[in-house]
Amino acid sequence: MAGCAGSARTATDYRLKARNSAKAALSAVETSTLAARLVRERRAFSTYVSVVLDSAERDVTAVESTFSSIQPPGKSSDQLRSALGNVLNDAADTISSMRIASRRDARHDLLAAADKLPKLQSDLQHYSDLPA
Amino acid sequence: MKKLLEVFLGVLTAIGGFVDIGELVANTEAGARYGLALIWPVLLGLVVVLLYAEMAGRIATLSERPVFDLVRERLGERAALINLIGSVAVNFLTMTAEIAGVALSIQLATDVSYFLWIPLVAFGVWMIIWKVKFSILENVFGILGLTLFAFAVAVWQMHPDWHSLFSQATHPTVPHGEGHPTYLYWAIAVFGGTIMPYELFFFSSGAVEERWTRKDLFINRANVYLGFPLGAAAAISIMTAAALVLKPANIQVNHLDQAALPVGLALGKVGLAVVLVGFFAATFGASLETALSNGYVISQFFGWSWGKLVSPREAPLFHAVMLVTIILAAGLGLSTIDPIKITEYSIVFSAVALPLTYVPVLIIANDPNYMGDKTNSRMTNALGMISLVVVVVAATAAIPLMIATKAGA
Repeated sequence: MAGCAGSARTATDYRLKARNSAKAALSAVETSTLAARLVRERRAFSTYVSVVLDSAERDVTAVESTFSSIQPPGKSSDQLRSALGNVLNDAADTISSMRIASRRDARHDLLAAADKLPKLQSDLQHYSDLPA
Repeated sequence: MKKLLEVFLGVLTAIGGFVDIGELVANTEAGARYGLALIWPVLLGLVVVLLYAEMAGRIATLSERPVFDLVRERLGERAALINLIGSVAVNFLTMTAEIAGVALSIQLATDVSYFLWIPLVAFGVWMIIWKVKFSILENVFGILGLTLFAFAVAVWQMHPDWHSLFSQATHPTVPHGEGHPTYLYWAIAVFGGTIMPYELFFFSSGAVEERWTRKDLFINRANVYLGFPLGAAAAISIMTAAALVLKPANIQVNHLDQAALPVGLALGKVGLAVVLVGFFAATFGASLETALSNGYVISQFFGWSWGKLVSPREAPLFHAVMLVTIILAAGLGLSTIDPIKITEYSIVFSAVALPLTYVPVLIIANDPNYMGDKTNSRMTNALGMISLVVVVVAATAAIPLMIATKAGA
């Protein structure tokens, strides 16, 4: 997965790893957005949607865990760590809520949780475009 | 009329049987990442497989012996042993990926973890090889595999800009931010996914099992020249669907479930159900073929009695090899290794192992002792040599590119 990362020695290196983590999380959020569209337009069975969301949740959780384990090289990177960490956490929570709703066949709850996806997309897009 | 039906059925089977987990994963990943800029490896792979599958079928029909049997006789024990080890290793990895692919397909329909399905799938593969007739086994899964044309219908339904798609396919460019080595790595993956070695072993051994004669050379050509291009069209439609839906959303493909998203969006529940049947049929059919291929090549190398049509009592080692490899593949599938990663490695290692299969096929197809008056024409040899150069270049570059790009990351 593109979000996998080792240690970061410089602020630039850390920013690069943050960018890759954001891209990988954005992929999971976009996948969940398509899954939500399938549900909204009644174009898929709940079993399939549950599997898609479960996979997306595992992806974003892995990205979050990997990113949080990277030691920020200096204080200047702490702010980035905190801000992106929060977005990744929100993404994992949102997709998790969608997956739970899907398994319960609770269409309205799933779509309500999915309402948070556009904001997450926009935030993650911002971090995906960070300069190297 | 009966002959015509046989040809028609063979072509349908060849179309449906062309796509397996390798194509499903590689073409979806390539489409989501590069749009249609990696159609050329599919077409290149198609040309290579057309040439060599026809040769393998012709060799098996005229000599009444499968390719691997002749490899040992023609190239000697040592060269054949290297060939055997490489081919079985790649076959085994591919079989693991296919069995996991069947389990993942069932998971998509049931939301029950694929780990629970793997033992049942492995048992099903063994039972079907044991109990079901060769012709039924081949035709049912091949024809069910035709449901993968739901991807083509989905693409049509999306009303894409055909001019833009054509331009992407004919003027391939590496997207901004992507490195050329990664692009080339994925080109080899798509190429390897199109021409996995087990297909040749299965095809030639199947011709011997079904007792093809000179009269059946026409069926061989029809299966290859009609069936394979249409199968490649299904593979291209998978890539196109991913290019139209997943690429604009910047989706990185890590799971088989993502491959079906475009069909669900375009065709709804019915389309989704149809394509899941296609996933199941393509991977199950290939699980059977890879299991049989392992039995075929090992038995043919050691000179054991072999054949799906031969009873287990008469070919105990052939059936034992299949049983053991199925159990081992299921065991690897049950490990925590990501099945999509297994698939990616299997298709790249397929590219690495291809010369082991293709070089002896080209040599034998030119040997009048085996082929009589049906040796390769000059044109076939010229194209075969060019293809071989492509195969060797891909095989040589695969591992260095895998290391340099961290397996296409």
